[in-house]
Amino acid sequence: MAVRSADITDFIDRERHHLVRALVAYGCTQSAADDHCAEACARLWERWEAVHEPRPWVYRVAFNLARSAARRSSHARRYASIPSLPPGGPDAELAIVVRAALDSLPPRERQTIVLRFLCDMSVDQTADVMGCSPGTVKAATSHAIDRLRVQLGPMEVFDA
Amino acid sequence: MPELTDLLGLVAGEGAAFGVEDVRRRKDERVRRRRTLATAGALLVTGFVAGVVAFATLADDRDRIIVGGQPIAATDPQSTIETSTTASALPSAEIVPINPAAPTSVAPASEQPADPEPAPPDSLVLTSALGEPVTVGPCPEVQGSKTCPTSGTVRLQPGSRVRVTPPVGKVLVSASADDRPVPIGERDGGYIDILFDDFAGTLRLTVAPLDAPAGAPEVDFVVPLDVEPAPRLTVNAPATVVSEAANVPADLPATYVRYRSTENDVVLVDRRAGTELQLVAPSDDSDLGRPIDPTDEGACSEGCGAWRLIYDSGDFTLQFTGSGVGPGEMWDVHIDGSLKRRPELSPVATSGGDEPDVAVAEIFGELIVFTSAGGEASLGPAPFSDRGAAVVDGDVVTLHDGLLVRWSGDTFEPLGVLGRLPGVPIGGLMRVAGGVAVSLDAVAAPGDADSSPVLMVVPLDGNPPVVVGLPRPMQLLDADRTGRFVVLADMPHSGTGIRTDVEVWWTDFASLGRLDRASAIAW
Repeated sequence: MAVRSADITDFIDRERHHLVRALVAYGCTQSAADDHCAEACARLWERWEAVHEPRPWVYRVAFNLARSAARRSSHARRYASIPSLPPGGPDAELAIVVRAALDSLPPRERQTIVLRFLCDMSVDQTADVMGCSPGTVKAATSHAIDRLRVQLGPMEVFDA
Repeated sequence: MPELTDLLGLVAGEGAAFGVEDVRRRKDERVRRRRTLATAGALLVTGFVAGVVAFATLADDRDRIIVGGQPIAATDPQSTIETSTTASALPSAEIVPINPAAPTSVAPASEQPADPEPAPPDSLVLTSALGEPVTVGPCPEVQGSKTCPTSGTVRLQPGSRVRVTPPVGKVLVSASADDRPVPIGERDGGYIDILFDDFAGTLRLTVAPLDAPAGAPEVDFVVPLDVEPAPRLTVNAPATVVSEAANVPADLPATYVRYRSTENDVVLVDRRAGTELQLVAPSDDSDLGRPIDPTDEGACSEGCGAWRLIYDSGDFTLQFTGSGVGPGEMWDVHIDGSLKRRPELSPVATSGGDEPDVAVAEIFGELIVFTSAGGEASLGPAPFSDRGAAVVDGDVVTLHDGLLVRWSGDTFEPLGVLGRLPGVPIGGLMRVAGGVAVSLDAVAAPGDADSSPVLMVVPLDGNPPVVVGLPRPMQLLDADRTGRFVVLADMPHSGTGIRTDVEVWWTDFASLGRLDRASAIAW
């Protein structure tokens, strides 16, 4: 059990930053992302012995929490993250534009983009997190990239 | 040509602000809460039983029941109920006396066995008794509860709960009081909670296993109810009144609601009944008395933290103001106990910031600080109705009596930069990097006779504040984690949620300005 306990703490320590960043990119506020991530990790801890693939499991729970929170509070999206950028820096306006572009995506497409290109997940891993088929992930990815290119202009996309 | 991954990184934030220990605490809290919720939820919990299974025989007088085996307790037909059963089907019963001092059962004490025979190990006797409890068998006292793993006689009391362990299959419990049915449920073991209104009289419980063969005996228990109401039902932690509501409106009805948060639950107290009690499940329209299930859609989970209760012409409005799930959600708490969610959301200033260990709420004009450890403290009367607060390095920064103050748990440290500004509308107070931002609707600059709206960023290291004039009074809506950006909006505090003129400002204490592209954000 001690070994397993160490496993879970190592896992949380390793994944928490990635997961919070993914949630923020998805559209959560920083505090909400922390909350969802901590909650998902706590639930994982409770079920640690039974969860065989903790990474997709905890991502799925965290994103479910984020979606549930958004449904509960329709204005939650309005409290979208304000990116932490150097004031007046060259990236500030770009971040705002990216934020707006991401927000314009349907939630599933936005989640797909975040998981694949920020979390560096494969199509199969993304499908596992989202509970859908790999084909659905591919389609959502394609649609989302097309939409983003319309708003953000040309950009390079390296397939994860 | 930018890479998509790099673009995403621009909006991905800086990572987690919590550590593994925070998760461990949350996990422990979840376990503890789940256990607590399993036992909470009844208005007045009375009566008793469960646990008797298989072969129960109903005596003719329905007050004396002998089930298999040998009777082992007093057998006065008017006073006792006896059951015994075989070891294989024997449940154990844990009685949780809620009102130990209350007189209880139907039989006079004199009729109770002074020295009952030791119960055979394969029997269980439950006796409704009056006076001192008569206990037979190994019923060790565990935190006020008696656990009879194999046998024994336990006293039944109104307001008691009987836990049947291990579960013995579905048990059908029917009850009536003064010939009126009492809502009751069926359970697979666990507690059986009996709900009843405020009537007195006697409560008759009939317990029988559902899977018993036809004609199997039932077991009756008769419990008098002419006793004091069951005392407080607490949830999570001993519920205490946060505030006696110093500013209670004069026309507040005699029955009003006091409340506090036990971290995630809301406990409403009905003063009229003298009992504290109601766990309100916000997801239900009028489900008073049901414990909050954190997994419920709409239930307030971690992060709600703070709220305020607004009295409004007979009803209350429960308004969550925390920074977590559902900030600004409005719930109407009606005097009749119903709770309904308002369809429209009204934004309010967040008070907890990104440090959920401390939350601030304004309650009846009093500023209360809550900590996740369950503590709370009053900061005294709140001079402004919607001033907001910020948590900076574990301290609360807010306006107190017109002064910007920093509260460190037991002392105030007036920051004084605002001076006394009683009556000046506050457009918001929020944590930003290294300090707090305050928007004021009308402040006269030194030497300036005209007042004007300002946005003020106050560093907490003693440096002078940065102040800029605003084109019009604006509400301070939000700030990012680092505090480099603040969001201001033209809108009334109780608007429709539709913001038509939102501006994003940034600050680094050296300069303060508006981002021209802010309007591109889809708020």
